[in-house]
Amino acid sequence: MSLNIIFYTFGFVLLAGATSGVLIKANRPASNALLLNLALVAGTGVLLAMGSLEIAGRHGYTLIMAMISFTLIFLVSPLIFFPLRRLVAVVKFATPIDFLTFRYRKEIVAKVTCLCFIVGSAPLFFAQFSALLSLLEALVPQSAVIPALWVIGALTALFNRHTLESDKVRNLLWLMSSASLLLLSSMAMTAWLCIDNVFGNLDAMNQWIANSSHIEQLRQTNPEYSIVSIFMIASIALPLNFNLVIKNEISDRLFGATAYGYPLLIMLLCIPVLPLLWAGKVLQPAVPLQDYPFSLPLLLDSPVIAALSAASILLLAISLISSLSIMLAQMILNSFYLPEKKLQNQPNIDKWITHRMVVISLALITLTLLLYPSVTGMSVTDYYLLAFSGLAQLTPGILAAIYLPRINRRGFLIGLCGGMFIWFSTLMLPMFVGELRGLEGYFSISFGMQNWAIWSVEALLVNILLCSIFSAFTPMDEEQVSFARLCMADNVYVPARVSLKQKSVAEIQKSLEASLGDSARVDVSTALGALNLDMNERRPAALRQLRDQLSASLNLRLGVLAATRVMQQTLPLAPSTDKEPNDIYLIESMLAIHGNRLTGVASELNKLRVHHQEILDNLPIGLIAMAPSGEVLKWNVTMTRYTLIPAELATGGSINELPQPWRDLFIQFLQKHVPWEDNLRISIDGHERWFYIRRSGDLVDDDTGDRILLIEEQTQAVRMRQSYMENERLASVGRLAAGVAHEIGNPITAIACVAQNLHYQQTPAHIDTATSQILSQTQRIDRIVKSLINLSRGDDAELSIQQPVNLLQTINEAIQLLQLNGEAEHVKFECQVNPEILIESDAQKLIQIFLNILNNAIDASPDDACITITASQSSLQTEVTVSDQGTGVNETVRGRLFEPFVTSKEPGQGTGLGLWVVFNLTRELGGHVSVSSPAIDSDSGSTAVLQLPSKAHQKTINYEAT
Amino acid sequence: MLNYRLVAALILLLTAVFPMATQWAMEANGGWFRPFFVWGFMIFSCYMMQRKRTWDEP
Repeated sequence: MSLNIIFYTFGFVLLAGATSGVLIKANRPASNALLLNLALVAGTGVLLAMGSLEIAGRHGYTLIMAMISFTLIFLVSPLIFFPLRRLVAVVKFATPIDFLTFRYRKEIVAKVTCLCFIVGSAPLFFAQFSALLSLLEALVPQSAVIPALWVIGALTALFNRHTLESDKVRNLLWLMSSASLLLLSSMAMTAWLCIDNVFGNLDAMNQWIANSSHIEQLRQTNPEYSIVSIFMIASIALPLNFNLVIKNEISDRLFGATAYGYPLLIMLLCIPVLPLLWAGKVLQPAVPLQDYPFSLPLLLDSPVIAALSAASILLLAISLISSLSIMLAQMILNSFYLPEKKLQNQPNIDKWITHRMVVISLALITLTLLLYPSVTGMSVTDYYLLAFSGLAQLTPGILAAIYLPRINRRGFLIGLCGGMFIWFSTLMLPMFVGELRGLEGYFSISFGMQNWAIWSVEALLVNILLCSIFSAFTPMDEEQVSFARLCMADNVYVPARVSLKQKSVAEIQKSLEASLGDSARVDVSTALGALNLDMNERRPAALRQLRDQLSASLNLRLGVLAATRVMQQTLPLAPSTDKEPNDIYLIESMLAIHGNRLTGVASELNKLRVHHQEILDNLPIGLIAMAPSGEVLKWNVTMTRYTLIPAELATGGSINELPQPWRDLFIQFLQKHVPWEDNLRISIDGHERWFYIRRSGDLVDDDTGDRILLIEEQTQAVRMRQSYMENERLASVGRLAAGVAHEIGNPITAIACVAQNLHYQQTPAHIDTATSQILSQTQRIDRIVKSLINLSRGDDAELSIQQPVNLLQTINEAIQLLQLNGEAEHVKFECQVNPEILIESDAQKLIQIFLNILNNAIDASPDDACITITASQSSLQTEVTVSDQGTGVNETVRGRLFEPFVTSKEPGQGTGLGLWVVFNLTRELGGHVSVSSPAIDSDSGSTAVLQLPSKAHQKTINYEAT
Repeated sequence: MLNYRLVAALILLLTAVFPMATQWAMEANGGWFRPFFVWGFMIFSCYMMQRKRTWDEP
């Protein structure tokens, strides 16, 4: 019989394993959700297979209330688990200890909570051993029970090794889902067997219940509210539950399925408990209640179903021992070993971690197996109640971490230690040493499991009380306040806009190698892949994201303590003098992703944010918001249209990293400390474009606030202005042309006369004289023509030829052109300009400027008046003044002299473009022009003052795109 | 960010639904499976709430 059952048991284990394997391989949303819920069920170990019967037998319908409260935490997961998952998505934790250490800071938190988890979880190991012993006692000879238990322990350790060295998540999922599948089928089959064989059918069972008093017993049993409370509280801190909650591999949608899937499975497992209980009442087997699932099928002569139950109990016990020992091993490693370990000396860190975890998990299984003989005599339910009341001590700290920012480290630790001390001394210690003697006089309630309900609640109350008192009356340092705020349920995690010392991915990798050795390369490569970045990335925001990603992955691998140490040593954040502002770029990207989670006022504010964002993006002018460090925080759509640089690339990067010619354009403007500048010319692929840039705020070099640049393209306006100026220049040429033609006519007549006389000249002396006269007249024509050509030269207006120009010659040329035209006949020119003055400028533009200024002076001057031209030069600037003795400038137009179409002349006398052209040409040459009326040192007339740079002026930023 | 709908549902559950449901489940002439109906209804309600939930991921 026993051999048959053992054979069937292994058969069922293989069958369940194969079924789970198929489900895992299917990898579909429905199968993954089912697997996750099955794994959660297996995380309770043998509680549902054996303990539930005992709770129902002892406390009736309290079982249902306890199980509802046990799964309630999943029903209300949006209140507790989802806030945790939001934080974990950014910071990443491997264990609940990492979360508590992250929240409460300091190594002591990790060490104390780790010890609490180990001590609190120990009874869970004992419960599994107790279940296995019950099973083995029915299947193998008495002498082989203990060796068989050790063999199961050894097999579990071997499974742990295989799991840790291959795929941890997949292997554990496979084992746990197999165990749950077996449990579901065994409970259903056993219940069906009992109803069929003991009562006949379901109606007969209902009839039996109606006729017996058992249903009344179930109802009238006083509900144990302490069981209900402790089950609910412990379910939050249960290591496996917590570990699954924070698993990064589980998506939110998949985790959402646990809210109803897990309670549904638990409910399905609780339904068969009552028929089993009643069948036991009829059959009266001489075994404890917890053994019914296995013993009743044996009594009813059904070895197959008994084997099914045995297989489920065996796999459930192994899966809990395995998962719990691996989890505790990681906690111990993260809390005690890795924070002190010099990782750079370890050639293969991952292998070292795996090896240590195998050894620690083996040590945990061995230790609990060695301790188990000294704690026998308790039922599976007792062990669970003991473990749950111990683990429940960690729940206040976890809940406070996400809901109570005032709870500090001291309060948490003192509360936890106080609660654990009461739990350990009143419930755990008596399990080892029996009733404590000598304390009867001090305590009216005896220690031990008989008063579990009282002591477990007492311990929890003391924990909460101490935690509240010490948190209320002890201060929190700034670090704790900041991390407490960070962990709040309604907080969106946004890293500060801190600056990194490393300026490239290569530098980050090199720094990390100093602490992690060769594995740093893999870490960086994985992080880059996760963020979709490449090795050439240099944007500060992207490098900060990379640092956060590396920190998160190290948190997972090494725990919060070791990861924090590595990050502080290798990728320290540059010290800041003031509180760093939030990373606007990350806030934007996070709100863009998670905005739909916001509710109430936050949601409305987010809508407002989106609206403002759209306004900024759709502004007809370009907008750049910059941090003091030069990091681009905002790059609107118009900027993208101007520059063809996408906002995604520009935002988060430095202004110093922008492609040319934009980089030089913005940097040169920022260096000038002027509020605005216009006509900034850049050349892209030979195409000239002009821009106006204005900066916001004060001109004071304030390094604390963000800066805003407004950019507007002026190309169209400049082209139009150039067109006007060109027309004006051509009009000048036209006006002068008649005079020039007349002036050329005179020497030509003279040449003609000389040439006719030459025909009659016979002597060489006369011929030489005539030739000289012809040459002289020809030179005169040449000079006149050159002057006109200089003015009318149709240069490419975009190309300014900057060369040394003799100022006196240029002025004389302008005067000559005006005299040719006959406009200057009634005035005299007094040119007091040093013939040695040279300026680096554009000769053609200078002639145009002087022509227009002198023309205005001539028009304003009465007959025989004198126009005086003076000049002075320094190394930087050359100043030319043109003074006339005319009527001066009309007051009505004095303030608008340089505007186009503004003139004080009679209608038809002037276009009003002369001084406007002068103003624009002077600005193009980097100079300045002003008119004062009356003239300087005079009561009448006016003086035009022209200030030009002595050296060449360059405003164009040339860039040929490749 | 706090899920007000869920908190309101919890308060309603604890103050009104739970006592009434317990009374109904424990009635002398009621079936032994009545508590499971209450539990099942809770799970179904949760399923309906989860079904309407929008997820960030694709």
